[in-house]
Amino acid sequence: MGVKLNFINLTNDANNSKFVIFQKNVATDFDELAVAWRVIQNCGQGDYHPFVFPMSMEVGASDSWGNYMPEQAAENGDMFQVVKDTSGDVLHLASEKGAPKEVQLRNDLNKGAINASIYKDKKLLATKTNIAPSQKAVFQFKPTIWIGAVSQVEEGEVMNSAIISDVNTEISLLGIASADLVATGGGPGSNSVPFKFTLENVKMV
Amino acid sequence: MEKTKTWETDDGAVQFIFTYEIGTSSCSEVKVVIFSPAEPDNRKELTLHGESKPVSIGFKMKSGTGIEGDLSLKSMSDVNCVRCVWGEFTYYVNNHAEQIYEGCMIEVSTGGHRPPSPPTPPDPDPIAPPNPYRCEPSPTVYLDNQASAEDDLFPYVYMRFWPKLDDGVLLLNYVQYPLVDSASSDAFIKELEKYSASGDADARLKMLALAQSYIEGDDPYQGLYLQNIDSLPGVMPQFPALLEYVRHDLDITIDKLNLYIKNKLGLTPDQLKTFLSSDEFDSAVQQVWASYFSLVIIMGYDATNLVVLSKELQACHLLLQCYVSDDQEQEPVTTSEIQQLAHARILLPNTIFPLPPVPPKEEVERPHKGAIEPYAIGDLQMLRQRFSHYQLGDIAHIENIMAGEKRLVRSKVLSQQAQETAQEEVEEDFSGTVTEYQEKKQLHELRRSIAERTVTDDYKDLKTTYGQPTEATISGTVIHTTKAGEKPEGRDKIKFARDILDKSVREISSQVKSYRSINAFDENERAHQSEFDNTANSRNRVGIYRWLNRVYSAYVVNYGTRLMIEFIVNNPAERFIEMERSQFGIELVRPLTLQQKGITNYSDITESNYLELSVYYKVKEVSTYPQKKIVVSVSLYGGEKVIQSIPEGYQVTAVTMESTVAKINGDDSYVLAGAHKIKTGETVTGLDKFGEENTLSIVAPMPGFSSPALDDSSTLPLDNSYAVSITISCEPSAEVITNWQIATYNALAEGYSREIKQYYRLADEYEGKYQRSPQVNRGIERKVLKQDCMRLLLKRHVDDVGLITNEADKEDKQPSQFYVNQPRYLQFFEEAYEWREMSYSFYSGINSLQSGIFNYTSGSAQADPLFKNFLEADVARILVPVRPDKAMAAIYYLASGVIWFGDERYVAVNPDDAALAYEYKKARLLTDHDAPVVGESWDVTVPTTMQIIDQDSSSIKDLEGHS
Repeated sequence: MGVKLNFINLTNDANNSKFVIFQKNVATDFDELAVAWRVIQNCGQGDYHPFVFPMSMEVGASDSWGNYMPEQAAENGDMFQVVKDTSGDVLHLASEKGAPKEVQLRNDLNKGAINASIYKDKKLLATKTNIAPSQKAVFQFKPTIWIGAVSQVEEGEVMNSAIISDVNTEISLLGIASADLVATGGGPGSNSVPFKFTLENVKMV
Repeated sequence: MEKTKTWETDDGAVQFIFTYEIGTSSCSEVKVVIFSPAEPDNRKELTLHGESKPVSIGFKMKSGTGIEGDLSLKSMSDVNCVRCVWGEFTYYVNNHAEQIYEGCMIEVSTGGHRPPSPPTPPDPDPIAPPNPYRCEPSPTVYLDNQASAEDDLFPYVYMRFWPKLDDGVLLLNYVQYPLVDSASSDAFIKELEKYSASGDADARLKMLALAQSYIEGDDPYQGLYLQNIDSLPGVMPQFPALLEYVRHDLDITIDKLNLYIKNKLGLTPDQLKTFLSSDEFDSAVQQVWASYFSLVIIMGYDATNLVVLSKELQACHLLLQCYVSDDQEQEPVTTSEIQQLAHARILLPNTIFPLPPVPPKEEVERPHKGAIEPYAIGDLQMLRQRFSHYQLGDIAHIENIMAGEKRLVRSKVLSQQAQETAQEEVEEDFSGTVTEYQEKKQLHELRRSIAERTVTDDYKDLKTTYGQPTEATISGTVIHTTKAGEKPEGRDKIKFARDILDKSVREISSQVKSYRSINAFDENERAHQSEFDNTANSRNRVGIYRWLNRVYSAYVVNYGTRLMIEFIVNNPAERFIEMERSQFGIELVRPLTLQQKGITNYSDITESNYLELSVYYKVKEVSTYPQKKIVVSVSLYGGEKVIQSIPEGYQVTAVTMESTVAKINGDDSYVLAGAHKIKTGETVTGLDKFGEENTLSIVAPMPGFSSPALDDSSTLPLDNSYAVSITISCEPSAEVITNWQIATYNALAEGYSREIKQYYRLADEYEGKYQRSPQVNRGIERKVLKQDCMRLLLKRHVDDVGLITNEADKEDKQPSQFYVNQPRYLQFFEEAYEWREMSYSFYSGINSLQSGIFNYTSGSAQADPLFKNFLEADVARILVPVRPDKAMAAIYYLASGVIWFGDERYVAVNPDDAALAYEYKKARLLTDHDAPVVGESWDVTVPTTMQIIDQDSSSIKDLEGHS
């Protein structure tokens, strides 16, 4: 089950702006860059773009040899590990559990760093690179999304810090079953106001 | 219990602390504290109430961190009061880097129940469902309220009982006889007390006669009855007006009362006290009491004067309490006390009231057994429900359509019901077809017609000659003459033919009508066709049908304080069962088995019980008990012998012989029967001596065979012959009795078998025809119980007053006074009691298993267990509230068996009811009339048989979530 969202473009924008939606990984010690999870583009005035923010997520990994391991469904509290078996490097669920609100991926290879990725709806949500052997990537997400009007952003790509700092609207999805995500503002001329994103027609669970 | 949750912004610049109560009965408020970790002492506190408007949280700190926006509470679920704190705000740090937040911050569950909110209409969901359908109940209200009719469900009562009253309460709330201590009792009252204490059977009648003579002024009570209080001494005639004044002035004080007395009565308090202490006043009060008592005894004689006298006594009581007190140190009377005194009811003295009951007369049929008592004073509360909305229930049905499949589903339900009862009614004088009837009637009429006419044939020159050869010569003419017969002619043959025709038509038409009235045929057909076409789609599709639940909002309404009367009714269903049997004309009593009738085997069938048993089992083919005794006689001449046959199955028990001669050959004449010698006139009895079956050998000795005394001519006829007569008594053998018992037993057993089959057949017919719904059964219960309660109430009247019938009425065959008054009493019961709010329960003991209407094999009793309880109950306990405006009259009636005629406010109270009446009055004052609804309402979900296509899947979607 996910949160049904319906992005409605009621802005005055005439620049064919893109709207990016992403989540921030809470469990990070340093300012890790976020990934543009979903980019809504070519959405004209009055258009709407329905999508679902799923509660489920997948975890994936790639090793230093350039091998990508198939994504596996993950839930909070799961601990994954990348190990080397007879066929090569593989990703699987570890026997021990992780922290209740986190998804963890541990590099159990003897040699070689890995990259860990989290996907939602088959789209990259967050990533952590260069995880050395015996280290682990920790992913923890608040039930909020960030949304903003940006340019030069590609879906699934890491956004640079300048872009991230431009996105300043945090929308909480806690307890919401469905809602309209309405974008207003923007536009040319002296009457232009900042883009604003609000929730409307909210239906609680 | 208090609970705290925290929340902080993404960068941690602003923190929130939420505090709320859990475990409360309702949704509590949420307290919010907002601060920045950089300035922990600089806080903003606010409170969120329910679902009120958003609360502004504008707040700026010295460090440049600030927040602007709103907080509010949003409901997530009615159950356990789950809400979320909804934030829409902008925050910034160091006056830049403005961040926006919108959405739910935390969930708050306080464990209470939120009042139901009005349902919201469904919004069209523009979002295509992304996921395959998940089976989960939807709590969402999505259908509008279509109706808001309120239905009463059932009443219930919070009870409270009454304690014994102390003297202070009695003094303030009751006017007690005699009011004045020093007064000498009135002669009339003394006489009443004497009768009451006498215990005589006719004490009540004597008191009634005495009261009547007092009112009518018979000797020695001339002029004593107060028809008008103007004859009272001093200012007493103005007392009722004074009472009204006090009652209407809710702020009355003793000073105001003094002023009123001074202005209206022209007396100072001291003068009034002097008057109230005077002998003149005492004797006047006695006279008022006597007149009042006489009117209470002859209830209905003068209701207006009864009220006036009540007021006079109440006013006297008020003034005596206010101005004449034994306690000199007593504090001034307060407003509340004056009001209580002004509304005090008259408490009848137990030396006279209630009047002694009339002893029962044996020949009088007493209505019903049971008991009736005031039970409690309660707050009558009614549970009500109001339709709120519809709600989706569980999944009822899922329709799966494969990719490329086209399916046509047709369902057809046809229900037929036919009922036909063939009934042939044949008149007694006509036992054939119409045609036969017609022929018989015609023949009869023809005979009668012929009898009425005589036809004569007149031949001229008619000659006939018989013999060889036979010749006949006929010449001339034959004249037929018709003459009138003996009976006068006048029958109209046309009329006869018309009668026959009319009769035939009547017969035919009546048969046709009969068949029309009893043929019934119902047919109901419902056809439904659904077509699912998924040929154009490459994906599977699913359609989900959900049950639809009705949701009611239930709440409790307080109807106010009621006096509850408890009725105990024995065998409540007894009369109903009798009525059922007589109404439907079927004797549905299960026949007792032979064992239950005391017949365990054939040997229990006796001459004394077989007739009763054959009647009980309706057996016709039973043979009568074998004849007890058969007498066979035979005559022999001397020297003859005979082998006499004995009736089959019988044994010889006695033989008697008589002879034409006393002696034969000098010996006494005798015969040999079997092995015994029997002399003349002798009877030999005993089964042990005879016991022969089938035949008995008898020999009469030949004269001279053994006797030499041939010369005894006196004893022997001349021809030496003689004759003997032998009488043989036979009784049935044991085998015959046994055979008869076996045959009778078998016949009775077959009879029982027939009867039990008939019983089951009738029971089945009854169930099929007269099965009732539980609602109808509840109605029957209430109706029967109400009638029983009415009977008990009438019984109280009969017990106390008796069925008084005047001698003159008896002679004129007039109905008794009771039967004349009965409708009036029934009307009073209808008005005084709230029968609709009756509540009842049934209790049954072990005896109930043997009683019952159909032995409770099936039918209504099994389909409705509550009704079974009613049918089997030994005792029913019924609680009925009394209407508030009739409560005191009802109490008075229960104590006296007499209806109080007149204003409810002036109903007197019998001595045993003082505590009850006071408690009721107190409870009435405490009743909060402004808050009829008690507590909060709650939702009740009732499943229905209706189905609806799930709205989320109204367009059937595929398993991958694509439409």
